Amino acid sequence: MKKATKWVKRCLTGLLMLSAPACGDADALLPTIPIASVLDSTGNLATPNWTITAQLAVTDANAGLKKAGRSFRFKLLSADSTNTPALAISRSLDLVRNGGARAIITDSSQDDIAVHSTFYDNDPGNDLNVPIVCMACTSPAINNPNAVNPADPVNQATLRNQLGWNFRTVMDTFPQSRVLVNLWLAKGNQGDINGDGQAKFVIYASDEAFGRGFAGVLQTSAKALHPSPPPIINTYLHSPVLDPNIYFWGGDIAKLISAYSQETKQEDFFPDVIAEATFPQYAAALVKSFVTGGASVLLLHTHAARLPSALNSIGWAIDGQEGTSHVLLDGSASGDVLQQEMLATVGIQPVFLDAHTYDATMLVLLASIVAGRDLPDPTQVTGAAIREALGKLNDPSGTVVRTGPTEFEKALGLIAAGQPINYEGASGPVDFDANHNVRNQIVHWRVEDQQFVDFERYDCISSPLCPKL
Amino acid sequence: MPDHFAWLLRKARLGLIGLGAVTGFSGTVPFALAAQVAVPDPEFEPPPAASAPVAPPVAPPVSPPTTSELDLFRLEAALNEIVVTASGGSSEEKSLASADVFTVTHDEIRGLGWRSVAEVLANVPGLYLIDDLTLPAVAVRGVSGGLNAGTRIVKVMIDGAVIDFRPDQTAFLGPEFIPIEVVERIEIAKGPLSALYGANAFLATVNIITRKGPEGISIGLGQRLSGIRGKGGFGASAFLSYRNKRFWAMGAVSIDRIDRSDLALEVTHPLAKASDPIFTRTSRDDIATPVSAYLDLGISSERLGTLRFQSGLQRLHSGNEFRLNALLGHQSQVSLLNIWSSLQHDKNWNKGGISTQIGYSYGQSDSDYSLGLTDNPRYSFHPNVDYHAVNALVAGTYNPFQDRLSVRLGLDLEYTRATSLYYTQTFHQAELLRQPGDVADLISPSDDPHTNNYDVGVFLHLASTPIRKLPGLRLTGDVRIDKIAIGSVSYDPQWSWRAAIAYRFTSHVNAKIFAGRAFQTPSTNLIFGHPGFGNRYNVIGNQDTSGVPRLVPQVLDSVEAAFSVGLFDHLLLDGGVYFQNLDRKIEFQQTGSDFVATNQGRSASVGFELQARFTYGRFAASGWGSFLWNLALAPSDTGNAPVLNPPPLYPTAMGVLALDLDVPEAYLHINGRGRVVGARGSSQSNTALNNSVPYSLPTYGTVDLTLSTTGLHPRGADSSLTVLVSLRNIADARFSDPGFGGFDMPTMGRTLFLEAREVF
Repeated sequence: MKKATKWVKRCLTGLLMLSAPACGDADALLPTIPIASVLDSTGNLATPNWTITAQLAVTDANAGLKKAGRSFRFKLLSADSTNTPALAISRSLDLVRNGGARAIITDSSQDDIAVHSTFYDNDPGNDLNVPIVCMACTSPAINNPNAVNPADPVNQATLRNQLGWNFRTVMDTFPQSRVLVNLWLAKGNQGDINGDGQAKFVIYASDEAFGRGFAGVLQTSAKALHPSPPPIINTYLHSPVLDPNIYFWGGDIAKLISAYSQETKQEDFFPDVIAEATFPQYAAALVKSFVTGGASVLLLHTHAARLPSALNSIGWAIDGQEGTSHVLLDGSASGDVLQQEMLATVGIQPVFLDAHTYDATMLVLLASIVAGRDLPDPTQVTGAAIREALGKLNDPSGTVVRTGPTEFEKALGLIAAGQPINYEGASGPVDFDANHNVRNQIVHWRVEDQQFVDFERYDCISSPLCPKL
Repeated sequence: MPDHFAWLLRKARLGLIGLGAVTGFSGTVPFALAAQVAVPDPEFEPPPAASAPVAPPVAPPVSPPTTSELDLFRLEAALNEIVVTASGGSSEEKSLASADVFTVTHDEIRGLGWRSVAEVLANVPGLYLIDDLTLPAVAVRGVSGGLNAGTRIVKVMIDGAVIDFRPDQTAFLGPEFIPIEVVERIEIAKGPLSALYGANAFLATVNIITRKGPEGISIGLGQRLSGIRGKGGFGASAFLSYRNKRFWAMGAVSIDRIDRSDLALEVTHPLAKASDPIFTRTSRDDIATPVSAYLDLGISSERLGTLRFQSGLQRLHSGNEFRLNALLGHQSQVSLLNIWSSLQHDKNWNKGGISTQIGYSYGQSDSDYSLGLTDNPRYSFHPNVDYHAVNALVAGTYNPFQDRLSVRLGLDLEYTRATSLYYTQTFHQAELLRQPGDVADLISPSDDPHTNNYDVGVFLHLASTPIRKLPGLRLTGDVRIDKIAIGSVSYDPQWSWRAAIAYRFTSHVNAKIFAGRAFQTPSTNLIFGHPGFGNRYNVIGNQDTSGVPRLVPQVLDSVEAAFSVGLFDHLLLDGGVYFQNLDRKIEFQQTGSDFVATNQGRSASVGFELQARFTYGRFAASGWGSFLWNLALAPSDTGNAPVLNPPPLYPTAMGVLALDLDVPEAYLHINGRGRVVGARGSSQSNTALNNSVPYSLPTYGTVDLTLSTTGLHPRGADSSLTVLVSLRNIADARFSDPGFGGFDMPTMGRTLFLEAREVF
């Protein structure tokens, strides 16, 4: 029976394989350049869309390669990091060692730092030797040459990006923290919303790179932007690894809304605002407890709460909640093309950080073309060469290249002709600076009728002060 | 009537005195296989088909038996079995019916001690049930309904009337569905039948045909005991029927208490660790108390036709230890009530007839329905969901040339007002401004959970024996159009069709080819359901989920060729091969940590099913096998190369072998059966939690042994006594079926079932 089953399966497989070229799928037989995406499909940051968007970029590039008559294609190898740093490392290593990936697209700050740290630890055997491009890592410590961690030199070297392997297509949280603090102050009475004579700002964050980083810049911005006298600032961190069904969110909220001040260590003033910076699954659980428990302090959210998982999980409770985030799409033709493509191919609107994922992937693909231009076999391009080429895609004097297969085909021609290109992405210009960072626009959002609605935009590209557009 | 009353009292006294032995019931889907055991119940007879006149009563046989009373040993009966489901209610021979119809008779059900529709369906070729010990999920021919599937992809009816819990499109398949004593037979028509029954007669249609009592008054009493891992269970059922030439009445009730506790999860997920606390726990106080009641009243005359009123009560009341978020939390209880009623009138003339039917159904989650999060005693959650549904049907049949042509034209409609699922949270401890006992509805005040749903359909059925010189040739065709709205979601008109050609080569050789198209609309809760139970693993209504495309009906196209052959008066073979293509397949996509139903492309499969039955003297052997290859046309990493995938959740191969020995001299029947189920693929959810790498659950096998008395008529010809002992899964094989959320569903292991029942 087993033999018969195998035999029939083989016949069917053979028939299907034979019919594949006839159906126009000869591309499947071409040599490929593998690219890895190690993104969160499950876990507390789960956004399966990101892998879909990375695949869309690869599909666009392959369509461009086909139109241009090239004899190779790209292939996306995907893995789920579950927002668990150890898993992000092991799966990245697997995709590079066993899948031959030439670059890695990854997401959260803690995953990015973990994967990137393999270059600096004491084990030379685990060096990936491929560039890492993260699209959701917003910690201000990442790619920061001034980052300091005397207790952990490996971490410090990683954060400083000393070897230059790390890139990101999403802006760090410092400019956003200014926008968020200004949003609080704009609520009236110089931030003293409850009118008790003292502005009090409470920060609730996850105790890992993203949360700690955001908490730090929120403190800095609150102190810098609030007029004298300075506000009282309380900061509470929670474990980044917890079960949202069991964790006693109500207990944390009781602390957040209490009159206790960490500086004076006594009960004095009630908070005027609570700003949270945690992963969407936790943000949703927090809001649920907050609303069902009857808390009424202004709660401001950061970009992680803009992920659809948070909205979907507690759509009934999140109406009226507001916060800040990077823009979904930058409003240019590049953003429009991505939106149309997603609607046409996947049938959905882009969600938060889809554009950044697309851009991260597309930049790696373009860099692979640039790096392999003079190779007899472009599929033999190395990770190191791609790393170098990533810095050559945003030449201000170059021809603008946007999103979509047609633009990719155009880029192929320009690169083949040795002409400079300037990629303008769906999330923004994605121009890497010397530290491999980019800048984005920030938007103020609010949930109305269980949908995210954008209000003011802030231009953090032209100025780190993020003036309102 | 006074005579009848006296007779009733006398019978009741005799029955109560005589009912000594007590037997049991497992309350779960056993792994016993489709036995062909049959113990005729001479006091009962099936009701006529909807359009047929009432049949005269049959004289009961008398004991002691000189030959076998089992249908199992009557091959001719199986070959020319009459069914009604594939024709919309008209009687036709199974071998010529325009669908792959599998039947399980009352005698077979009774002979194996099955107490639920689930136990029957678990033993049908091409069907696979995954039992979460609350609401079994039915998969058909490689297609599963996914998370909390229930009977979503199958239409379940009682005598042609749809019986399910509307907001979930799910019928309760346990003992709460109907007292099994009133089931004459269960017909399972596989393949698309939307052209006959509209939306959701999708991959299969299950039709429970009820029976009527014999002339006069009849009473049946049954008691049972079960043993599962040392836990005892018990149950009882009773019916009372009266019948004369023009009038019949039947009432039946069944209640059980089944303790399924002490069941543990197996470590099956590749990333699961045995040290995880969840694998060191066992279920506790996991008790089900299903209740069902049934009433059937009818009157018939040649002049006025037949008027029939049926009604039923179903109460699903069960522990819920294997629910996501509540896994082995010992705090969850499901309690759903479903009540249905149907009034039907049929009038036939020489060349046709008219059938009308109206029905009303009501269901709700009652106050006992409470869910608790695992390891979190601070809250409990009550799911709010209910519905009221009214339906009506009118159909006319015209037979202008007798058997040469039959035309049936009809209109049916259903209106449902449903409350889509939302939760109410109860605080058990003080928290922020809440005090113990406070409740909070987890729904926005501006969000109205009520939906008004309707489905209007028009259908045409044609059946013909077109060529006089080829009387064995039979053609049938159906076409139907439905207009459906579920709350604010309105779908384009949905077309469905079906066509069949059947030919009887000889009285023992038949073949047929049939093809069709069916559709399934999403349930109210898949579209509008609200999250709220815990902070993950909720099924969120598609309509309120951002970032996913709107849900539309999924569509099935299939073609099937089947044959039926009787050989040497001892062997009967039924087989078929089918190809089916499922488009806009509804799957559960993870959005964050929750689930939402979306349409996800297309899948195709090829399958083969074969049934065989052999009889010789007092010995019989029967069995079936089903095989399936899934041809999933899914995008690959490099493009759109077609790939062969193992089907999720559903075994690629299953097989059953049953052996029966009748010993009339000892009033004994022995049935032994073995079942082998091939590997089942991991669910989407568990695959996602395994770094998108699918895994398989291994092949398993079970062996059951059932001993039952047969031909015992201790109080004379008009009574019968049956005592049954059944040991299921004798080897206590432990295996798991595909689950969601990082674990797979454990199964019950060995169960003992004892039953005694008497009819008089």
